[in-house]
Amino acid sequence: MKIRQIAFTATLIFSIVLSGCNDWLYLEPEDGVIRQDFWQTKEDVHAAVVGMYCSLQNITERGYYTIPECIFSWGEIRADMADLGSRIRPQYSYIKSGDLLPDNTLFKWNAFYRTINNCNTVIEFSEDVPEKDPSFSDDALRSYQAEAYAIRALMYFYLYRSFGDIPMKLTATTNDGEEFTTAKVKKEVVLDQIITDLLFAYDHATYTHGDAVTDRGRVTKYTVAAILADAYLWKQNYSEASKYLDFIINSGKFTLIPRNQYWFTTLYVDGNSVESIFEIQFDQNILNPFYSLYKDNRYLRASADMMEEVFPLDPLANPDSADIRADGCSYKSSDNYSFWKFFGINDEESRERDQSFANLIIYRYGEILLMKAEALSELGNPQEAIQLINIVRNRARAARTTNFLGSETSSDDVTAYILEERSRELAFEGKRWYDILRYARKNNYANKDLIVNMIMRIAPPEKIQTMTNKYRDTLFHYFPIHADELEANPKLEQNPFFEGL
Amino acid sequence: MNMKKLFIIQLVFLVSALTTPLLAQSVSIRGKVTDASDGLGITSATIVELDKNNRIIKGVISDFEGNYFIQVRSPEHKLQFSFIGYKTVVEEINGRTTINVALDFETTEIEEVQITAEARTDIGMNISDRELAMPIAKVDLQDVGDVQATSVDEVLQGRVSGIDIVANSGAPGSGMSIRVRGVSTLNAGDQPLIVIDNIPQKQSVPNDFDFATANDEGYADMLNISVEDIEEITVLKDAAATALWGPEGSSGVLMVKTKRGSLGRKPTINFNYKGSIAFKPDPIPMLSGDQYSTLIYEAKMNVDDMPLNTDTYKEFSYNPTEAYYYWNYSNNTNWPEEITRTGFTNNYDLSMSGGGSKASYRFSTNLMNQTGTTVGTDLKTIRTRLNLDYKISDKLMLRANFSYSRGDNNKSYRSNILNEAYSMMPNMAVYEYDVDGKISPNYFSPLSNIQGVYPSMYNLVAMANNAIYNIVNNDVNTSLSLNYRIAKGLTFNSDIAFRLNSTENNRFLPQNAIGLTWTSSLVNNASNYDTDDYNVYSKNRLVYTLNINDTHKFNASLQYSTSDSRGFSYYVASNGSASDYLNDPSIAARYKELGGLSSSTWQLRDVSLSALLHYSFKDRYIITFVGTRNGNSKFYEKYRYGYYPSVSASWRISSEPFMERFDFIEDFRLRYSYGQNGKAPKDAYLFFNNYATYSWTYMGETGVYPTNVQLENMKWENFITNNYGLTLTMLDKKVDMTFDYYINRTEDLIDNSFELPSTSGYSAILMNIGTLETQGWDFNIRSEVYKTADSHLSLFFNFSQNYNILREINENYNLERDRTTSNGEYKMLVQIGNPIGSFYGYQFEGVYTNTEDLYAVDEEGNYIQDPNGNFIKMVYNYPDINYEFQLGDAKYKDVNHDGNINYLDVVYLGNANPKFITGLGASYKYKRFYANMTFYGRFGNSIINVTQMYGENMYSYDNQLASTMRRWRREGDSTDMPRALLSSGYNWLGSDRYVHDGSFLRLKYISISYDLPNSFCERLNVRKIKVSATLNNILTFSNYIGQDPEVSIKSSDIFTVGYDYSRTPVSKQLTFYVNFTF
Repeated sequence: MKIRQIAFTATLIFSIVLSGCNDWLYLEPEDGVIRQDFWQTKEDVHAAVVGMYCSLQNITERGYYTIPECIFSWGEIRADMADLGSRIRPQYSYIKSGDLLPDNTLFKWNAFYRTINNCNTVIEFSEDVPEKDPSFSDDALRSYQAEAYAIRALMYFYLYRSFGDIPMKLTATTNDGEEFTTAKVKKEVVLDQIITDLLFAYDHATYTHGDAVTDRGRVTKYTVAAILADAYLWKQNYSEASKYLDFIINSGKFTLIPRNQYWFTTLYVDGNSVESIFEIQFDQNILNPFYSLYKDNRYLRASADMMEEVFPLDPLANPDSADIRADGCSYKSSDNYSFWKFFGINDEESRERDQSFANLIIYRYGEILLMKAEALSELGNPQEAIQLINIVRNRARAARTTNFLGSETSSDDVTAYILEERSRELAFEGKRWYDILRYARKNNYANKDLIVNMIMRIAPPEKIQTMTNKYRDTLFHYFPIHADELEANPKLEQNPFFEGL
Repeated sequence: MNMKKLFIIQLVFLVSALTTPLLAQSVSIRGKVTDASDGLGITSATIVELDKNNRIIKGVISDFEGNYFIQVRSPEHKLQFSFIGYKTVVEEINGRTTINVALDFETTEIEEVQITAEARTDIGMNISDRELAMPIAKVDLQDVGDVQATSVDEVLQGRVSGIDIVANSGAPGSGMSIRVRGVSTLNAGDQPLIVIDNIPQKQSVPNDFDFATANDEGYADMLNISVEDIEEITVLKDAAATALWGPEGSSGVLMVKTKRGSLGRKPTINFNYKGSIAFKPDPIPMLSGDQYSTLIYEAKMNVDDMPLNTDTYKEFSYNPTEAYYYWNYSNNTNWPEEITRTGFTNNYDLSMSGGGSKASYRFSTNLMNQTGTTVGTDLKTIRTRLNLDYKISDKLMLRANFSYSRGDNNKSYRSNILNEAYSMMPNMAVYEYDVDGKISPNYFSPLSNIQGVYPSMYNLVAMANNAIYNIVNNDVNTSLSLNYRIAKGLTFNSDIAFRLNSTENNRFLPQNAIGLTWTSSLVNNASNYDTDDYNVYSKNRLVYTLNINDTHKFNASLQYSTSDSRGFSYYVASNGSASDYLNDPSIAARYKELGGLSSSTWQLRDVSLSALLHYSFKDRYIITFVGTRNGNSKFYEKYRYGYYPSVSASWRISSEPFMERFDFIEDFRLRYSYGQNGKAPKDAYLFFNNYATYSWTYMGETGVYPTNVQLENMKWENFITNNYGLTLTMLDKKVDMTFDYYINRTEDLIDNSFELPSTSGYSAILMNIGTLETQGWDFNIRSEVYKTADSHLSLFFNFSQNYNILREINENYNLERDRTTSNGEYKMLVQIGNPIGSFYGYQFEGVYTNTEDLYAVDEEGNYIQDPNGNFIKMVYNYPDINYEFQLGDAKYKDVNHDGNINYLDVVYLGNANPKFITGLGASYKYKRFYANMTFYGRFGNSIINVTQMYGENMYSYDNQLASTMRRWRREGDSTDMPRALLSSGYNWLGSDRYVHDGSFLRLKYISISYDLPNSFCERLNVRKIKVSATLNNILTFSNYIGQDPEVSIKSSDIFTVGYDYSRTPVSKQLTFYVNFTF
C-alpha cells in the first residue's frame, strides 16, 4: 500500500515537474532588453538613433580601429602632409612605404559596418513604431530615419573612397539563419546608392533639432546637403553639387568665424561653432582616440618639410601676420609637429590627456565654400570661384607667397589652386588623400601625375622606384580588403591589384 | 566531550519530536543505569526509546546518580541504554515499568573497521565498482596526505592517467588547467565538473566577465576545499560515466568525497601543521645597465649610421652635466631580482570527528597563509566544514554538510609582471636620485622615457609593492540529503543543496608606479568588481535493486535533478584620488564619473531526467543502460532539450568456469562503453536579439544598440565517447592494472568566435562549426611489490596519449591563422584529418657572416643570375617588401632555392600538444618510516619561448637576455646571434629558433615521514604523532631552454599553441609537517 502511494506521488511529482519545465527554462535577460520588447515608443527610436551616433565615437569590441582613427589615418597616411612619428606603428609604416599588405589591421572596416548595421536596424525596426505609439508622428519617424540614411551614406562614402568596390548591406542583421556572405558591388553602384540614400534623407531630414549645438552633432538637412554635394563632386556632377552647396550657403545659418584671438578656440577647441556643419562629438565622458595615438605615442606627426611648402614664410611680411592656419593651428612645431587642431587649447598651450575631447569635424563652412568654388570652376566659371577662395584666404590671412598665379580664366589652373588651398584650410582634418585622389581621377585620371609626383616626393630613396610603379596603377589607389574578411566571406574577391598577395 | 553529547541529545529530541506518531499510548518507565563493574550510577547515560525499525522516538539522560524517568509512546517499543566507553544495551519493555541496567566497559576499542561490503564508488549510479564498465580512476588521499598542496588539482597531478594538469603559473591562487582526455570543446567550460559529496559545484561565470586573465586564473574553483578534508577523488573520464551529471560533466567529472565521522567512535582530534619554504626562482641572466646602453647605441647605428640622439634621449647620455638623468639612468638594476623573493606557507588544520550510536560528525577548520615568490602576491584561506550523519532509523538516514571558505588572494596588478621585469631598461634606478646624486626613498617613476609611457614603462618595484589586485572569495555551501528505504530493494534519495559564492575584485593603480601626471585618468585608478552567484540544486532519485540468488542482479533508477543559478555583478571605478594610499573607489576622487559604473545580472536553469537499468548475470555478463534528457535555459525552444543515451557492458572472463585454473587472477574483464553527453555554451540569453546601452554617451544622451545576432539555430554540443577497456587484478591484488582505448567525438562543436563577414555588423558569432575527435589510450598499473609484516613497497605508473583531430568544419571557417610576413609571427594551420596544434615558420640557420652567403644559390649550389648575368642577392619577401639581407642579419633557410625568403619557405615546426603524459611513483614503508615520491612528465610538445624571442630580438628599447652579448657586431664575427637592429629588419621572424622541445619529467614531490613511538606519545598524552618532510618540484629533467617547461595551453579555439611568457614558475619547495592525533 505504502509503495503504491509513494509510486503514485513520485509519478505525480515527475509529471508535474516535466510539464512545467519548458516555462521554467524560458528566461529573459533582466539587465538588458530584447528586440521584441524594444521598438515600442518614440523614445526607443530616439535611443537607437543616439546609439547610432555613439558607434561613431568608439567601438565596443577590442582590437578594432575606431571610426575617428580610420577617418583620420585613411585620409592622411597615404598623402604627403602627415609623416611617421618617432614611435613605430607597423600598420602605419607599411602603408607609408607603399606596402599595402592585406593583413594590415588598419584595413579592417569593422567599425564602419557596425555603424551601418545600427543604421539599418533603425531604418528597419522604427517603421512599425508609430502603430504602437500614437504620439509618434510620421514626420518625426521619417526625420529619425533620415538621420539613419545619412549616417549610413556617410559610412559607405568613406568605404567607397578607401576601398572602391565594396559589399553593400542594406538590411539589419538579426539572426543566425541569415546569409551573411555578400559579394562586392561596383564602386559606381555604391556611389549611386549613397546618393539615393542621401536624397531620401534630404527630403525628410529636419532643419533643426532645436538648438545650435545639437545641430552640429546630429544630422540636419544641411548635413545631408554637405555629404550629397561631396558625393556629387566625386560623381563629377557639378551642377547637382552646386545646387546643394547653394542650399547651405543661402540658408544664412553658417558663416566663417572671423579672424580674431578666439578664432582657434571657437572653431577647434570648443567646437560646434557657427562655421561647423557636422562634427563627431566627444566630451569628458568619451575622449577622442588621438591623444594616445599621436601625442603620447607619436605614431604620426605633421611633415616638417611639407609644412614649409604648404605654409611658406613670407620673408617680407611681419611674422605676426602669418597665415593663422599655420604653426599653432594645424601643427605645432615646438611640440614635435603634433596635430595641434586636436591637442591645442590655444596656439600655445596643450590639452591634458583627460581633456582630449576635440570633436572630429566632418564638414564645415570653409570647406563648403571651397567645394562650391570647385563646382563653379568645373562648370566654367573660374573667376567666381576665385572670389570664394579669397573669402577663405582672407579670413586666414593667407600668405602672399601663396597667391594665385595662374590664369583666372583657366578652370584647370583654378581647380589646381583649390586643391592647394584645401591643403591649407583643411590640414589634418582627414581630407588630404581623398582630395588628391578626387583631383587625380577626374576625367579618366587626367591628373594621375599628381599622385605619382606626390609619391616621388615622399617616398624613401630606396623605395621611390617600386612605390611610383605601384601608384601608377590606379587599382593601387584603393586599399586591399583585409584577409580576415576574405576568409570569412567566400563571395568576396580581393581588390584586383592585390589578388596575388 | 560534554558539548558533543549535548549536541546529540538536542538532535535526538528534535528528531523524535518531529517523528512522534499522533496516537500514542504512553507508559512511564523508571530505572537506574549502573556501571557493571562497581555498581555505581552512571551520570548522563542516554536512554532512548526505539520503535521496531530502530527509529528513535524519544530520549532522556540519567541524572547524577544514574536514575532516569521516561514516558514511552508504546509498550511494544524497546529502550536503548548507552554511554561513551560502555557497551550499548537494548531492552524490550515487555510491560515492565522499572528497568535497571548495568553497562559493561567496552574493553576493546574498535581501531579498524573491516569493511566487508563491496567497494562502492558512488558515481551517482549505485552500482558497485566491480560491476562498473566505464573508465574511472580513483585516488585515495591517504597516500598523498602529507604533501604540501594548496588544492586538489595539485594532488592529482601525475597520479591519474588520462588527465593533463598544468599549473597556470606558480603564483598563489592561480589554479591549474585540467583537461580530461584532451581537448573536447573550445568552449570556456573545458574544465571538469567538480562534485563534492554528490553535489555538483556549478559555477556560472558572468557574461561580462572579461578581466584579461581572470578566466584562467581568477576562478581557481578547487581552492574552496581543503586537501585535508578529502578522503577520495574519483575521476570519471567518459560520457557513459558522466551521463548522470548533466552537461557540465561532459568535460569529465572529479568526484570528491570528504571525510566523515563514523558511528561508535570516540572523538578524535587531529591537528597538523605544514610549513613550507618556496625558494626564490632563478632569474634568467639579462644584460646589465651598461651592457644594455651599449646595445641600444649599436642597434641605432646599425639602422641608419646615425648615432642615437642623446639630447632627445637623455636617458642614454651618461652625461654628468645632466645630473638628474645621469644619476637616475646610469644604474645596473636587476628588475627580476628586485621583485622576486623567497615564499613561505603556513598551514594549520584542526579536525574533530566521532560518532555515537545514531549520529556521527566531523568538523574541520583549516587556515593557510602563503606568500608567493613574486613580491606582492599572497594567499590566505580559511576553510571550515561540518559533516553530519544521523541515522533516524534503519530505514531513514539524514545527512547534512555545511562548509564555508574564504580566500583572500593578492595577485600582481600586471598579470605578467615577471615577464615585464625582463624587458624593463636596467640602467633606470628603482629609487629616485636628486641632482646631487642623493638617493631618496621615493620610487623613480618618470612620466615617460624611451620605452614609452605606462603600460610600456613603469616602476616595477612600486607596482609590485603598491598596486593592488586583491580577490576575496566567500563560499558557503549547505547540502541536506535524505535516504529512505521504502521497502526491501527500493530506496528513495533526495538531495538539496544551496551555494552562495561571492567574489570581490579590488584593483588599484597608484600614481607612484606609473608616473603619469595627476590629471591623467589612469592615475590612482581604483576599481571594485563584485560578483555574487547563488545556486540551488536538487536531486531526487528512486532506486530499485533486486538480487536473485546472486545469479541475476537488477538495478534500476529514476532520477530528476534541477539547478537554478542566479548571479549579479557590479563594477565601480574611480580615479584621481588624492593619495596613493586612498585606494577604494568609494573615496571621493576627481573623476568618479569617468571611471565607470556597471552591473549585470543573469540567471541560468537546467533540468535533467535520467533512467538507468543495470543487469548482471552470474557476475560475468554485465550491462548498463542510461538515458538522459537534459534541458537548459540557454537554448532556443527548438533545441532546448537534448537526449543522451549510453550503454556500457563488461564481460568478466575471470568468473567463467574455464578460468578456474588461473586462480591467481582475481579479476579479469573486458569493458566497453558508449555514451553521449551534451554541452551548453557559456553565455546565456544568446537566442534573443539583445539590446544594450553604450557605456559612453553622445552629447549627453545614452544610446541603445543591438549587441548580438540572435542565435536560433544554436544546438547542444554533442559529445560521444567510445571506450574499450581491460581490467586485470591478480596475485592476491598485488597487481592491479587497467588499460583503456577511446575515441571521443564532439559533434556540433561550439566556437565562441566564429568569424563573420563584418559586413553583417558583427565580427564574430557563436556557432556550431564542426566535429573534433580525440583518440587516445590510458594505462595504469599499481603494484605491491612486496609486503611483509613491517614493510611494504608499492609502485604506480600511468601513461596516456591522445590526439585531437579535426574531422569536419564549417566551410567558411578559416583554418589558417597568422601570417609570417611580420616578425614574431607563426603560422597556424589545421588540416582536416590531422592532429590540431601544429604551427609553422621559417628555419633559422644562424647569421650571414660571409659576403658570399648573401647571394642566392639554386638547388645545385650555383649562384643564381639575373638576365643580365648579375648575381642575385638574397631578399626577404619580394616583391612586397623586398628587403636585401645584410651581413649580421638572421639567415633563414631558402627551402625552394629561389633567393627569396617568403611564405613558400615556411615549414612545419612543431605541435603544442604533448605526445604523451606520464606519472610514476613509489611508496615504501618500513616500520614507522614511510617514504613517498611521485614523478610527473609531459613529452613531445613544442613550446614557443616568447621570452627568448623578445629577449633576443634587439629590436626595441627593451632589455635583452645576456645571450645577446655574443651578437654579430662587425664583419668577420662568427656567431649565431644576429646584429641589433632597432625597429627594422627581419631578424626575429617566427622560426624554429624559438621553438623548443617542452618535454620534461619532474619530481613532483618526495617525502619521508615518521610515526613517533607509542610510548613517547603516551607520555605526552597524545594518541599519535607523525612528522614528515617533503621536497616539491625539486628536480626537473628537461632540455628546455627557458624558465620552466610547465606551460599551460589555452584552447579557446582550435589553434592551440603553448607560449612561454615566463610567468612565475612553479616553485621549488621544502615542507615540514607535523601531525597530532588526540
